[in-house]
Amino acid sequence: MGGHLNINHLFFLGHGALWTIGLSMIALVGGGIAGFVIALARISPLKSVRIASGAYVQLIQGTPLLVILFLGYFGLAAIGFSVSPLAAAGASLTLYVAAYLGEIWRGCIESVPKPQWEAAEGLALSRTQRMIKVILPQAVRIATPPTVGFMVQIVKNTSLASVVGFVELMRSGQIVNNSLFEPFMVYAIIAVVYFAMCYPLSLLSQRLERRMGRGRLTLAPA
Amino acid sequence: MRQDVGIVFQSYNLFPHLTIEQNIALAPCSVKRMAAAQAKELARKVLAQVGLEEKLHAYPEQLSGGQQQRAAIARSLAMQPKVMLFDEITSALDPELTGEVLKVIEQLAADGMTMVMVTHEMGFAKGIADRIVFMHRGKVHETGPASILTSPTTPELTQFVGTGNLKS
Amino acid sequence: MGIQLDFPAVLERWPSFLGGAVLTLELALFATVFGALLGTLAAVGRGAHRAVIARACKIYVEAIRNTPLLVQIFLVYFGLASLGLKLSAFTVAVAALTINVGAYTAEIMRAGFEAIPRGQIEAAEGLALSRFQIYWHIILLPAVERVYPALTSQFVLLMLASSVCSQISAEELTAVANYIQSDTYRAFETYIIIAVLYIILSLVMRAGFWGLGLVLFPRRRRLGTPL
Repeated sequence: MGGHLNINHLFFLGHGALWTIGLSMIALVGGGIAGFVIALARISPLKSVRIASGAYVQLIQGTPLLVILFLGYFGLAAIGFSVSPLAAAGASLTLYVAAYLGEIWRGCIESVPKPQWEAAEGLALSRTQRMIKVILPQAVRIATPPTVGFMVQIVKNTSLASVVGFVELMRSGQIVNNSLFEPFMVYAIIAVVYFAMCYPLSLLSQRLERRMGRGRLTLAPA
Repeated sequence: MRQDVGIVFQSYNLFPHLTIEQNIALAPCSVKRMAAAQAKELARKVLAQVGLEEKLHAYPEQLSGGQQQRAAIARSLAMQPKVMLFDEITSALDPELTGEVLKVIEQLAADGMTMVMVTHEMGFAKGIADRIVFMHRGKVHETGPASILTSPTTPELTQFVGTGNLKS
Repeated sequence: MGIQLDFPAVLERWPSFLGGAVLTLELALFATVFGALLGTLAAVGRGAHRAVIARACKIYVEAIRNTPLLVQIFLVYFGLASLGLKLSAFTVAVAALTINVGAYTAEIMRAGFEAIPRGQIEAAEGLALSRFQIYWHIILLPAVERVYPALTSQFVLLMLASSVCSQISAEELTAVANYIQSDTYRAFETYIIIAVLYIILSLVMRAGFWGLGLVLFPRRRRLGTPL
């Protein structure tokens, strides 16, 4: 029974780690684009748009990512839409990330000082011009530290894709463990690899935050 | 020793999460183990001394700067100190509010409280102090009775009183 | 091909769903209480004069915040087992969630401590309060009041994250759902139902924390400062 950790195992784990990065990228890009739309919708002049986007955020933020994943994989399959684990994980993470990034970015847009909005209005810029030329460039600066901080959450949350069978780092660890039967050691290695990916992002986020001179609390879904 | 000395700060430093009554009762209750009812009675008494009896249940942020400073003095008084230190207690207040705080100090002086006061209010110091120490850039330049302010001997103090600081 | 949904077939299992929801709430409440204590200790520890203690607390916080909960749960599960401890999956889940939320609590509490103005402590020293009394009345309680919204949001997120405990077969809402869907072959309906239940649970928790805040912080209640 069992065996020893060998180079093949490490190679397999490395492959899983690459997919963790890949899935994180998919979630960041997909969730970023959708989240940007959500952020703008949340401050739309149209009430119905504000209510719809607000409801979306509330729904997603009130549901565990794991349940969204199950719904996207097992749920869709049960009603006749079979999707691959990658598609299910990518789509679920995108939906999830969009709600959180949307809220973070809305806060950043709204925290651009009021006089800036008024000044832009005084210059007779249209609403779109005001957004693109005046507000967003400043909001991007404010948004950078919390966004980098949220990337840590994205990387960690990709581990949930393992439960629908997508072979990223966590799942590759489980597979390696199935041949080694050394769960504590294997998961400790996995933890170290996650830490190596996340900690630099955390540090970067803290450093950016300090440079901006504002100690703000960013919430972190575990 | 710390119990015998009361300190009042320039920035009041009232505890924002506590009512004025709780601000005053906190130290007597936790340091002197006074019963709550007795501490409440004490709070009422010292607040009356600074003319703020009606603010017993208000929170600090509901008070003006001058009222907050008077409440801070009351909080200090509640520990029945032998000596009180006042560290630029009127520097953050505009002249009108400064007046109401200084009136409280006058009353304390009349009641015989020993007080050490750091201040820029030269007119006030002259009127009330038994002894004045003039300091400039961390050095003592002159000490003596209040009269040193009217007949300064060092150039530093001469210059200071000459700049109109005495009119108040 | 038409989609046929049959919610009644799944909803007739409502006692199981309800039981699962109650278990999830229990799991979250245990972890919240223990995690709040652990996190506060860690936040205090980070400010300790002993460098060893401060460092240990920092390592704990960073290690937890930079690894996935799922990995932590497996590590606790197999770690305790390898120590020869035979614990129920529920107990292991409480332990893992406590360790997890403790780190986030520590970070939030630290921000609360740092926001206490120096003058507050000087004033308390001037009133001859002891070190412990200062920590309790002037630092800890006001800090909790200040970070209460962030703390409680974190605890709601913890409740949602507890769904991961289904992976070590701890009994809670998601585990119940996994069982029901494998029994009824109605995965879509089952997961929709528990998604709704989780949303209700998070609303219940928010309402509970809001009410608790009114009781705990009379100033907020009196002055109408939003919690």
